[in-house]
Amino acid sequence: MIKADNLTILLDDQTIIDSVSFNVFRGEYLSIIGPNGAGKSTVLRSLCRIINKSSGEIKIFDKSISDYSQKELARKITYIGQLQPNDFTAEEFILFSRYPYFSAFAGISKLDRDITRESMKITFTSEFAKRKISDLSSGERQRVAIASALAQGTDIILFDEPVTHLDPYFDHQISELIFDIHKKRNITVINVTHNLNDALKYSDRIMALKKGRIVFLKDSAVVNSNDMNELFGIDFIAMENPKDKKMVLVRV
Amino acid sequence: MPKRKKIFILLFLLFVSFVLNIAIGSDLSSFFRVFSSDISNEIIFKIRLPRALMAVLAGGTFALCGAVFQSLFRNPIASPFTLGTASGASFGVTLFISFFSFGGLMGMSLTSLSAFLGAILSVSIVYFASAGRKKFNPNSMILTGVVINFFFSGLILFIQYLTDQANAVRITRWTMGGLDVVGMNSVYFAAFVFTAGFFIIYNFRDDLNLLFIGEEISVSRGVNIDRSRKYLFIFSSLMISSIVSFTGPIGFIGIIAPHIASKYFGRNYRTLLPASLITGAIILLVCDMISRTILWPAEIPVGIITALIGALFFIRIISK
Repeated sequence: MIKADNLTILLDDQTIIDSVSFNVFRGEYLSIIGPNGAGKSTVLRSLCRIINKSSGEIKIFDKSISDYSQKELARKITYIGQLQPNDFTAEEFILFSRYPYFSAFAGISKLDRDITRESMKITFTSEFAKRKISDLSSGERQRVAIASALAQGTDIILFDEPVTHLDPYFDHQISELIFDIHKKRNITVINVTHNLNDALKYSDRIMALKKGRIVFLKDSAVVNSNDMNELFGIDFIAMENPKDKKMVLVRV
Repeated sequence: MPKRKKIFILLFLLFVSFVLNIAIGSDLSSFFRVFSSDISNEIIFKIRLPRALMAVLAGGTFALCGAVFQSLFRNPIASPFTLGTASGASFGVTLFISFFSFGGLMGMSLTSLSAFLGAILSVSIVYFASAGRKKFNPNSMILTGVVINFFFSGLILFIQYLTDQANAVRITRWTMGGLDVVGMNSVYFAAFVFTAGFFIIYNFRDDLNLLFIGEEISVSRGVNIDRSRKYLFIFSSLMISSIVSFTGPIGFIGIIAPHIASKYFGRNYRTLLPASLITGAIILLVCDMISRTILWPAEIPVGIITALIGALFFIRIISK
């Protein structure tokens, strides 16, 4: 579904991503982890052309992303970072994500409004439809951001540290929401995260980046504590979650 | 209150201020004489109507482009004049008056032309000087704009210092901005620019919404940001330059009108664009009435009124 081949990205003449190749499968949940400055966000942003690649190839649905118009690309793939406060209401903001389907002089269609309402229902954001984004808490804002991605109707959603800065309650709530829409709507998720336990818990595969190169890319079930120790250069203690028998890492 | 109703109220206010603007001459008493047809049709149709229409077109354009620039630069105090349009136009006029100094109708249209060219010159300098690695860099554009403003102001003062006194007075008068147009020809031209510009810009209403939120959101929602920004920048600069060539720089409307409009209509550019436009037109009509009556029988340039009222209003917005 996504195929990156010898992807290289330079920013200010510095090599941020150094000929990286990987595949992402349809309906997969892939987490990207790694130390700060590894190039995780850069890879993610290059997939939807927020950052342009310097060389190599990225294909989405077997078509090079350079051959898509920005509007066409926005019907296949979207991106969510941390939504900053702005003057629009939640409903307006979510409706704007229908942009790839708007035509020049037509107004907003009933379909656009229905999809917006539906996305708000799924993400439990209907109650603050009329409130301004700047009046929402950061947890509520992230839910609105997810609603907007849903409204955009793409097969792939890229998440760039969606739960950073959230308290444990909202962290949990947003992570569950992302996993939920991934399962129910068969949406391919690529999630850049620093929360290793969430990566182990939710993802099908984990990709580890360091200094612009892939350290490992494998099933989350076979990732062990040594992999993580090497990646971050500290010692984790591995334990087993009694609920789902998955590995939980503790840093001491 | 639904937005549609608010727009109707705004249109009604526009109508009222338009009629009042035409009815009120330099002195308030002429208001009643208009209806007793003491004042000849000549004055109404040759002087007051073109002037009121120009106020609508200029106020509307400044406000519309102000709203556009606020989204392009993601900066609530960005205005078309931030990028040096005003000082560029003034520079063009300064050069023309000092070195050619035609009089009469020919001189007037050539003054407009030199203002237009000056404005385009400054906008082009800002655009190309700030375009480095990134195609469109809002922050460096605003900085370049500020610098260009100082540069042209310096040049204007330099030329004013050297030229003879009569010319210096004419230059100063022009840079104060005014709505005294003669006849309908310039109004027709301004109306054409205004209408074409509005429809082109309105076509980008959703791009403006997303650009106001941010770059990443815009790209991921499908906006071709380089293309949209380029067109918006070029067309609003052309609009502003054309209007400034008739009226001279009339400051602050481009900042104030979108602010007031967004307070009552929200930020959504689908309604904010028309709402700012009408608000800008009303503000300029009212300021024009003030400029003609406050020192009756003398008339002061409307640019002075908008600057004074605008600055006070602006401080109020910021201190809230």
